[in-house]
Amino acid sequence: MEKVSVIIPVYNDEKYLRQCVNSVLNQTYHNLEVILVDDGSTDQSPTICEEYRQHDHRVRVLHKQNGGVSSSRNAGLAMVTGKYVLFVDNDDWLDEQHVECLHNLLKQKNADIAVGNYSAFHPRNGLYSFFVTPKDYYQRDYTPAEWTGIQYTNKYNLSQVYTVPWGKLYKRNLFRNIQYPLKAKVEDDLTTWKVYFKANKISFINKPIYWHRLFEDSVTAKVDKTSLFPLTSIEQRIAFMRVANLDPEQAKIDIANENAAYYWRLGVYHDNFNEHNKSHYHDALLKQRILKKYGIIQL
Amino acid sequence: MSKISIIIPAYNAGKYIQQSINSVLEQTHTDLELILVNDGSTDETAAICEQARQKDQRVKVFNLSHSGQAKALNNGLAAANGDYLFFMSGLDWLGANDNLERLLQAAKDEQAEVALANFYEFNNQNGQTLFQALDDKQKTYSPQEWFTFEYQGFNFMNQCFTSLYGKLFKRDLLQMADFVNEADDIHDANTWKFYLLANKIVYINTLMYVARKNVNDSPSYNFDPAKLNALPSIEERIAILTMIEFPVQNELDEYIRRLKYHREHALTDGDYYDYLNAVNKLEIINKYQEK
Repeated sequence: MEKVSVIIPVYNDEKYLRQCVNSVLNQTYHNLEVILVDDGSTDQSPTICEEYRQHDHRVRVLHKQNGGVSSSRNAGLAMVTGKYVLFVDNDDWLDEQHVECLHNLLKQKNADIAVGNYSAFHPRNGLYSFFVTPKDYYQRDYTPAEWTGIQYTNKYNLSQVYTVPWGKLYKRNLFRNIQYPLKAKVEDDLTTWKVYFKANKISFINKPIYWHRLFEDSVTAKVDKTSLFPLTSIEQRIAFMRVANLDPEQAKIDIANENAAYYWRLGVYHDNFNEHNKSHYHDALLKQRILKKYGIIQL
Repeated sequence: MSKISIIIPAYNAGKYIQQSINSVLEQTHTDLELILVNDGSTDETAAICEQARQKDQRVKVFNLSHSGQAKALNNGLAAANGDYLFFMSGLDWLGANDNLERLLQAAKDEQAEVALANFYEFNNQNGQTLFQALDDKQKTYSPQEWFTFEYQGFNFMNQCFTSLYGKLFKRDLLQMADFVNEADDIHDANTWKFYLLANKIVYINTLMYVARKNVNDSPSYNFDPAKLNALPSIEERIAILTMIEFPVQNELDEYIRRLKYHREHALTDGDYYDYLNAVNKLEIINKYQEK
């Protein structure tokens, strides 16, 4: 059995952390290294981490000064000794066959990244959202450019699946020279795509194997919308796709998707003015003017 | 007549700003306002600006607590009432007193929204002025032609294209402009966008604006070509040009050059994340170029 390193960034999560770690330690796939990165928590989380470390030899713990989730992911990546890497967010939990399922898929398909789907849980009212049912099952292999083609697909919540770091098993070497950005408010949109393009093959199963706790006040709700939908990530992807020699037909589709997403995001900036993003607001308006002048968008 | 607003953001430019101010106030085109934005200088900049204001009613002065070049420009822009805008550094000056008159005439003749000429480089260390012999011809460009022209690489055209300073912009062009404070370089991040908004750009192939280089005795801000390596601004430019279907081959070459620059210099500059970012991007680009 090859070793899989599971990185869990932990920050002030005494309420749900046990459910998360238990779901990892109870995996049907045993050869794990569980890396708990405690990002300077001020509640019981550090103690809970230590409990697990003493109770299960597969658990490793890093207590660090608070530096944000990017710094925790980076620190966790630096500790990895397994051949594969997997991320779990500290208030989410795994289906008990999560690792086995992704590991089998990766081996069978000789892929570099194996990806599954997820379901969401709303703690506010105790309801679940199922984006995928058993009859929706399919399995498909993608090149990175093809996989990027699904990036803005709403169906089965694929857009979210593409962007988040969790719900995927990665070959560890894909993270060579990858750092999650410390200064950005939202880290995954700026990073995950770079990992994909280091792969040759990405295998996806449309099966929910991850439980994502959706807080109304989570990052998605709390951070202002403009930092949730950065323009820079799209600019980076377009620049990369123009300069890299991708399959021309696929590149055309991917760039057209990015363009459409960019116009949409400019609209988000346009509609969400606040004092903190004044410069970005004006910059977005300037860009809208340029695109309007060249007949690309209507305002 | 058309009123020109000249905006000078100044930070500790006390040794040089008098020359900038004089070169503006002595222009043969007299319908102008000179907006001096003193960005929390700790030297005699404020006093010199105030003296100028008392002597000439066309001068306006704003004193800010130190908040950076972008915010200083924003303040100047908000106060501008002219039909045209002209930005310059408090270290630089206008080479002749008909500069503004000629630029304005060219803009009007060609119905261009941007008028510019080339520049002298004055070396502050040895007092030498770098002089190029140019043919004094005037030519009008569409934005797409102008973007191609930049990369032909002669006459410091790259710097001339990029610098916000020393150009006449029609006011409407910058109605939404807000110089983004955290950009590595406000010139590299902004000037090209204003060109895209123009229909015509008129370039006079002669030297006008004098840029003072190698100023080591003052922490003032200036146009620094060494900063022209920022990645976000070239990525942004490639994205926008792609969307409006301009050719981008020159920009792609420039992008690779900048990535390599970051790979070579980021570690010695102490920015590990920047280094990894450049290394990683070059790696994935190479991977797909080999195929």
